[in-house]
Amino acid sequence: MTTVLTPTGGAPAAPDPDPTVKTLSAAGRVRKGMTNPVASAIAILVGIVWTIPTIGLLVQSFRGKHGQDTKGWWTFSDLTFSNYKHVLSGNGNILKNLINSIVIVVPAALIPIAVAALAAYALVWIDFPGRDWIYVGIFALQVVPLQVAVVPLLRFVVKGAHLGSLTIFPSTGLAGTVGAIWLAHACFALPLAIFLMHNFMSEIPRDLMEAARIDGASHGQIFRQIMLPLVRPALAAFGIFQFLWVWNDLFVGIVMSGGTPGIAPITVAISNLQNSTSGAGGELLPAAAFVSIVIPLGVFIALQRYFVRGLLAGSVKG
Amino acid sequence: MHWLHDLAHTDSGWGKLGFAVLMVIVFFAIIGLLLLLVDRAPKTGREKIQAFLFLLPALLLLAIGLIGPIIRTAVSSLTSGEVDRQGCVPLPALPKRCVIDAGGAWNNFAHFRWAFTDSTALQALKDTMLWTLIAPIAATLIGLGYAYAIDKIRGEAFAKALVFLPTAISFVGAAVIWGLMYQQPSQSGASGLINVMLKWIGLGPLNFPTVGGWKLTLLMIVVMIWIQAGFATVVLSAAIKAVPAELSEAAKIDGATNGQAFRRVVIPSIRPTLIVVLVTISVATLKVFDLVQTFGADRYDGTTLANEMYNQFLHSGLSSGGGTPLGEHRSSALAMVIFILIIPFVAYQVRQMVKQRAAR
Repeated sequence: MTTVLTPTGGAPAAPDPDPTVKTLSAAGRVRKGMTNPVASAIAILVGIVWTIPTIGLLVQSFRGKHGQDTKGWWTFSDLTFSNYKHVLSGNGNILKNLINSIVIVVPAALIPIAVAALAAYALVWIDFPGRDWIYVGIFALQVVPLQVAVVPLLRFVVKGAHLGSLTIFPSTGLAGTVGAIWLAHACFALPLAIFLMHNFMSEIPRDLMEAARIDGASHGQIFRQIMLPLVRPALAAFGIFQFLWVWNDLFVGIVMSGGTPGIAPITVAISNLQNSTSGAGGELLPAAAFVSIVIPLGVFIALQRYFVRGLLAGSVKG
Repeated sequence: MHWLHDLAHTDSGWGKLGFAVLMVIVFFAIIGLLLLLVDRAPKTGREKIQAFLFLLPALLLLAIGLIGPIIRTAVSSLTSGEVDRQGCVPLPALPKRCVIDAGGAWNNFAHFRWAFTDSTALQALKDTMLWTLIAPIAATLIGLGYAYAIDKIRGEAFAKALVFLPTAISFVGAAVIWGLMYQQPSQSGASGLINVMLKWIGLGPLNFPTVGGWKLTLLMIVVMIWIQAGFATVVLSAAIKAVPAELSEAAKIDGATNGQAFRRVVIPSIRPTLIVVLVTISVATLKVFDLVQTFGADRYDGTTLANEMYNQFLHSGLSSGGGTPLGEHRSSALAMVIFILIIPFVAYQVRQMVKQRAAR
């Protein structure tokens, strides 16, 4: 999904994400009449197929061990809240991992937003030699898969940076803390974040900037008082994107928290639980999984408009 | 600073929240300080200094998190696991120490030769190919068909939302959801929906994940398609709406059927978007890890490059202590293989962006 998200949100070229067609041309009505019955049947079928798995998990999460072991979820037998009670307070507790995820996701979204906004401002509105090269270089860094970057970053966090035997940077002290996970997510998000902010900021009218410069405003003032309020939609779009990314991530979490279960995000806990599903407490897995799903789902549904608008503008234009 | 260390390593929920809040405050204080410095920049070369200060945090993080690691991974994939004095370029001041000794000497692609001969690594490569051949095309086709089918019908937004929802669900959550769907029949009577339906139509039970091999991989690819089809639907639906309605109507007036109008008019008009969707899903598929890891599929011969890379990393013992350096070098080699496979896709995306910028 990476390079597609380009919230040049207000661009007239971008179609409305969910247009409710109210006025149909005569020809449009003809077409509608022709496709309707088949289309509706397909739509309903696919819609059901796509939704059933999630509903199954939701129902299963409210069923006791006996019910889960003997009958399918569609029988709605043995309904109980006890799984959620156990997951949120008793044995099989994932509350700790839920808090870890919250502690991880907020800084991991805020840090790259701020850093990328600063960098994009310089790349768009300050003239200096090599500006375009730096921008293209940063954009190209999106090529790098996480698999290439994450292990050396962990080594850096644990052992510092050395050139041969020379210590360039001492061991950070972040090892075994959530700080290591913040650092990883912040670094990996930057190329995309800078790309998005750059797109957005370059659409702000030059006259506005020049007027502010003539009035004697400094770059620091322009950034704080003019640029930040204007790019708020871009900040929001990227914020949601990064929130979902970090919350749903397993790879960075599992590598950077490796050896320190105390800081593992909820995805890592659930992945381990599923992996050892034959053991005791298997009946808690659906409830635990649903707890982890419900937060991003809520954010997604509430803020879908921003997310979709960002998603569309880029890919449809290209 | 002892209290800070204790706070960073605390096990209590409130302590962790406090640490996060404190660090966010510190971070924004540093950014504020940076902006103050920007306004105090000296008059000579002012713009350059200001630009540098604005860029400084980003460049620092990129150097630590991406540029340094790329170099490190590339070097580590090409050098031997054991520290080898042959590769030593002595430091002038301290002749006993080397400039490059962390990884040892050049080893003539030994780790890459391993990656292309070892049975597990080869399996991962083959499986990743299978993933990348099927998942992007299937997800795009389903997204395209669905987007076209629901175009302009009543309740379109709702229909779209149903398919788009899995986009917000993590791969881990999806693995749990589909683990339940695929659940094999147990002696006590429970069985997943898929197996119940297979039984209805008289087919034998599907043993997930113990079927193993390419069958297991196919079952996991279904989950990937379930996740990605929503993205394809939303993006392609918007592209279809951007095609002028007059075009397909003119074709229909000339006697084209719906299907013909779709193939000859709509598809060519949205070709660029189709390719973007394909490329984007392909890149995600080449890196697929979470699903395989959560299903524990590598125990049954269903693995991927990214998953094998993680397994090799575990052998290195970097985070847990113990282990051998060989694991880290082999995981580097596998990461480089993923990197090389991804480059053509992203190169295409970059070219598109450059074209777009030139067109502006």
